[in-house]
Amino acid sequence: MHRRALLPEALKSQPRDPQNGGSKTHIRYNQTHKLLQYASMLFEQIKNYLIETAGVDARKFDNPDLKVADLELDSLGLIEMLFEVEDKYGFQIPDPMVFLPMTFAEMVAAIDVMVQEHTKAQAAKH
Amino acid sequence: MTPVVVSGAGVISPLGADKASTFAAALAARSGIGASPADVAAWLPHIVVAQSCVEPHTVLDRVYHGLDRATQFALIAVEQAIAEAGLVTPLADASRVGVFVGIGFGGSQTSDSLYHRFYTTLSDPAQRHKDPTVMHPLTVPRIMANSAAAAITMRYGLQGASNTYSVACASSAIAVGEACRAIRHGYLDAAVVVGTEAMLNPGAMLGWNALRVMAKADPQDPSRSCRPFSKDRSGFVIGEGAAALVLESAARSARRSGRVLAELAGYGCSSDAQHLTAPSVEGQAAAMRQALAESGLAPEQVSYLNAHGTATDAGDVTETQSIHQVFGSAVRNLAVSSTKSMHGHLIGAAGALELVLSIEALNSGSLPPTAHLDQPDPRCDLDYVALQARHGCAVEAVMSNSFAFGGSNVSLLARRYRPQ
Repeated sequence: MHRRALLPEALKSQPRDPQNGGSKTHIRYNQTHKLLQYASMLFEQIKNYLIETAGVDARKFDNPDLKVADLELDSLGLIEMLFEVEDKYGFQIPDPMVFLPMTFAEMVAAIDVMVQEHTKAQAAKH
Repeated sequence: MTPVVVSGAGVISPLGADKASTFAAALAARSGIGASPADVAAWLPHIVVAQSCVEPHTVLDRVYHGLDRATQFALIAVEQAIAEAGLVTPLADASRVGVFVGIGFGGSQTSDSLYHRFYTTLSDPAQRHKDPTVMHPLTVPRIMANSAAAAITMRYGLQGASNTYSVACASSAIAVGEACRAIRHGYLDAAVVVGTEAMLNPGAMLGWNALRVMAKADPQDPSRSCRPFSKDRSGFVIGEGAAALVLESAARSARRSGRVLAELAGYGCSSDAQHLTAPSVEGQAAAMRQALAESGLAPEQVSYLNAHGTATDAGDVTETQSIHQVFGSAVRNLAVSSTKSMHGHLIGAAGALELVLSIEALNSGSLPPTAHLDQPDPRCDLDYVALQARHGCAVEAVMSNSFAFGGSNVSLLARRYRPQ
């Protein structure tokens, strides 16, 4: 399926990536680079879902200040969108309503933080 | 009380993707029974099933792809029935049009997927980073038994009562009967009725297997595995699909000069109050007598009966006895067949599908056979239209029986419609 092809393998392996051994600067550079790359993948993943499955007009994403509210999703539509992330990373996003006042970019950033925390917690467990 | 007429019907079944192809296959004694899906066969290699001849998502708009398989079947059958009835939505009298659904298991496919996902995530080392409790947010709305009713009301803007009946093998026969009553007693002017079922998944089939009622695969020809009224019967075959009817008051139908396939003339229902799965002559006979009484027809006027006929020993023999009891000497002119020999047992969809086939028989004068009946059980001594269809019959009225686990019995009677 198209949206499964967008899965960010880079981040999945990051916590145990042996190539991150090296100077501190190098680590920071690598991580920042991967985070940026990953955040944009997350952005694309959610955006593609909204356009292809939820029927949101693709032109809306040209606006950098696009609001979550402007996506015109109902309450079920909002949690269906979040499931795209939940399904991939295997955790439930606690309160979908916190995203409503945000811009789309802010929402992706907030979800990104949650994914990072979950990934770290999982890495610590295993 | 206003007469109730059938103004359209639709089918998606193991025999065909619509009503015409399904009836044609039944007349040709062509069986839709065969191998199980791979995930069922992996655990139950000896089981045969009757899969829908079409994958529902291939004929449905993408917006419906997330729905449970049973809801998808229902939408397909309803679309055909509404088209044949010539209903153009939105309807001006939408609040007078209801939706009546029969389904046995509800969203069985979605339930099964939920457990499958949970245990797979839990046990697969590659998925250890995932929380197994994360599920699709629409899991519950997909599983709920009234999921099909909801989808139909929303798709067509139907605002009358939308009721779902879960009465095992009699579910959609009850839905037809109750919709008929709602129209006859003036609560509605029309109703979309659909029976649907989709439970050919590992969990449900493991359960059926444990009940010891399922047919053994015929070693020579698996498509012959369901043999009602036959000495060498071995049980029934679960099928999937949906059948829909549009019911309408004769007055509404006349106002719009709509087409009429038949009058739904009688509905009888009873409970055995005896045994969870064993049938009873008294209960079955009571349902058939009620249907006859309501229609005002004499037994001699009914010339075709689509039997419940599941191909279990107790079921075939008991139904034969109850038909004798109700029809008496009129059985001499009664043709009885079990089309389950070809399309299998569609559980929640069975009653609606078999009524639709009976109405096709009424209008065409061609009676579908009981397939594979070359070794009749001597205890089953009716005219079962063995092996081959019978054509050119003058048919005035038809009966369809549906008898459920739990002891619920339903009999429906349809007749040629002659406006007063």
